Amino acid sequence: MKSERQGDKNYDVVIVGTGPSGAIIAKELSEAGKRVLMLEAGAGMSAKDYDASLASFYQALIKGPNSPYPNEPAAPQPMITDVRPVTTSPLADGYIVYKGPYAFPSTYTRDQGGTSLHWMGTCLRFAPNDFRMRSVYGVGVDWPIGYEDLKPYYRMAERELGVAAEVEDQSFYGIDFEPGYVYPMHRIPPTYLDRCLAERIGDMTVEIDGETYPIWVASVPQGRNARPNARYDGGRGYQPVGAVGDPTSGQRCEGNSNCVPICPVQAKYTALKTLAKLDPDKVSIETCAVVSFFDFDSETGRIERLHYKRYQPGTTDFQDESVTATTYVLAANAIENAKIMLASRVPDSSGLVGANLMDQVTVLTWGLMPEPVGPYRGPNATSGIPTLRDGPFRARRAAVKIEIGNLGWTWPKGDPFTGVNSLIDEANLFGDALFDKIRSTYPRQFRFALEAEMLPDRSNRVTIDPAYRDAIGNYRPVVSYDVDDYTKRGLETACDVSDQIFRRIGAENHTSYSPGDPGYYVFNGKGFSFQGTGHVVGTHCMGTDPRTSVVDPWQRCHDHPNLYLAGCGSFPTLSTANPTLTMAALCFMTAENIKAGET
Amino acid sequence: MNAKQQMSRFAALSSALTGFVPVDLEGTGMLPVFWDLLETQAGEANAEALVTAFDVDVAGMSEAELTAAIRARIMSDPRLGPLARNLIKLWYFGIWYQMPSAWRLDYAADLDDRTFVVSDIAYKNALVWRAMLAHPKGARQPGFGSWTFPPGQP
Repeated sequence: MKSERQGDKNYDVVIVGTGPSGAIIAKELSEAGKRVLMLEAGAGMSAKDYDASLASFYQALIKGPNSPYPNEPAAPQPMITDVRPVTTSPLADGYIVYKGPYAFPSTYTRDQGGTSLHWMGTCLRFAPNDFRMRSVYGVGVDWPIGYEDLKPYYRMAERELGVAAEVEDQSFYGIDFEPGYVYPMHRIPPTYLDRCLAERIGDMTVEIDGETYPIWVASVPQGRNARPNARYDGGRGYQPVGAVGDPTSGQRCEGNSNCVPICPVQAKYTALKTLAKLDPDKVSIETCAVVSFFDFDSETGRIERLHYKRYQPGTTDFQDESVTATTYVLAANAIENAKIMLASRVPDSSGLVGANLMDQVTVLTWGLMPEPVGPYRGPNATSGIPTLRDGPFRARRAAVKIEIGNLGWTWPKGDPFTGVNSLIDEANLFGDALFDKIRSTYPRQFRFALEAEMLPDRSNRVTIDPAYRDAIGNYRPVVSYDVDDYTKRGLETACDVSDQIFRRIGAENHTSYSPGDPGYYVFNGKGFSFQGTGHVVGTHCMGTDPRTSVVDPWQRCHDHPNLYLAGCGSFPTLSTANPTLTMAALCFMTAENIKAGET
Repeated sequence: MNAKQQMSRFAALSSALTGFVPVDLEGTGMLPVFWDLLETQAGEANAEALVTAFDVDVAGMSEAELTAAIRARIMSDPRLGPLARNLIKLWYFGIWYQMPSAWRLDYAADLDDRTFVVSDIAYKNALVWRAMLAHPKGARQPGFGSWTFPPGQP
């Protein structure tokens, strides 16, 4: 049954997706007077839904990143339990069809607020060299813009996401700030683990390719409420944004240690906070609206109509709808954006729609500190070791961010459940002996995540296939994914550095990898297992040349003058920084361009 | 025997198995809930057998003797051992694990069983986090900045 009533309205902009990208663009454009429609595939995330999500989390047996959030049959999303070894290609029993060789190891959320619902909140800026890998290191590609171009937009992003950090901690590898700039809030207090590591690391250095590098622990900027910095914004200060619908809640991080997958008090930024600022007279949000494809003029490339399916929540009953606008923005996530483009049978002059899919390839190392450090407390990560994030070695091997994990062996081992189950079932402990064993070991747990960049590679890509559709007939993403030697060399070096750090601090190394792991590989005779970080980028890269890029620096599609592809898909390279802050900065740039231009 | 005595026996058993004193277990509010669960999921006869096996005359027993008695009568018993381990997990995690299929065949063939988180209250009162000097992930947050201090400090 067709209904075209939305098409009767006169929208200036239609935005697909209500994650941070869509929400920021909607906010900027509506404040400039544009009439905006947002289409969200999920069923919505009201305050009541958020509470229900929290309840779902408590009841979930496997507390993965998407575990609190409903899995609508009409808008399915990837789950971490889908990620398994691809022994026979394709592995297709989840949502994403994994062609291999590896199952793409990350998930994303298709609901109001997008993946910001379950993100950790780390807000690192890129370093200047991250934008010019080709020029500086002879690998990868250069971005068409650089750190200097993005600086003002980084500041806007830091305001919108509510970032807590100190400028002094972040000024390395050429990252600089305008004089007098401070972040909206003071840095989140480091954990006791961070402090113990820093003390034991002391003045340690490592050697790579004959060069000496210092090891140091640095706080990471976080989109999480902390003590406001009175010097922010020329002394006007900053008011933390609390929970949606309950602003006094979430004014400070309270140490729920649950950033991933859901912050119970909403101290962590999610796009729900930006959406809450939208004027309902200027912005309409339609949920249960899954975009399938668009029509475009074959001569001009202009998008003429967007087709979507509106479903009844909890069911696969839907109706076909469509809408028209002057400008269209796809902000549905890198994989979903590419999927919609491909489903629309676009000319794709560069051949790169869906190509260059990247995520930080992450190898975990873990152990026991000599003294109790109190893991399983605080935000999931508050500090890292930036040593390997840039340097001359990058001509030969990937840069790596070393993240310090505050949740003990949760990620590598499924602790405390896995370990304590084993103490009960296999070590035959009970009573005081069980208690004492837990008390003497768990408080000493820590882990590193060695997060390596990847180079763009066209064979890592999203495609579609008529054989793979979801319950309401939309395409499922078909993903090919592999890890190259540049990244593996980087990880080899990082593991070596991790070993050296463990020796320096006197830690017991408990790291082990299993050939049965989905991301297992052997490199130079040693076995490793990699996982994903949930940083999905690259599928509609930006550039100035339409032959080698999909969008321009403002994320406007070369082939389609009134279409913007907003989000991490626009990144030509990945770097070692978590992508959300840079993504948000780009979206402020995009909004400026839409406001200024006649599309 | 009245309900209070039953709870007292159950608390004594649970205390010996978990290493937490009965007053801590009572404080969670989970005693009657978990006893109920034991009876429903494992069967009343099996639950009663477990508590009865613990009704030892502990007066005069040293720690080591009590531990040995529990190992002999309960932990290594094919009927009571798996149930006792499940009870420890119930207290430590707030999760009821489906009993092993071999056990169910022998001792509870007519009962339905599955693995599940008992409730969000049970999750928040799970003892493992206290043993770890932490708090349940996603709950009982200790407050801004608390994580910067060594563990176990108020």
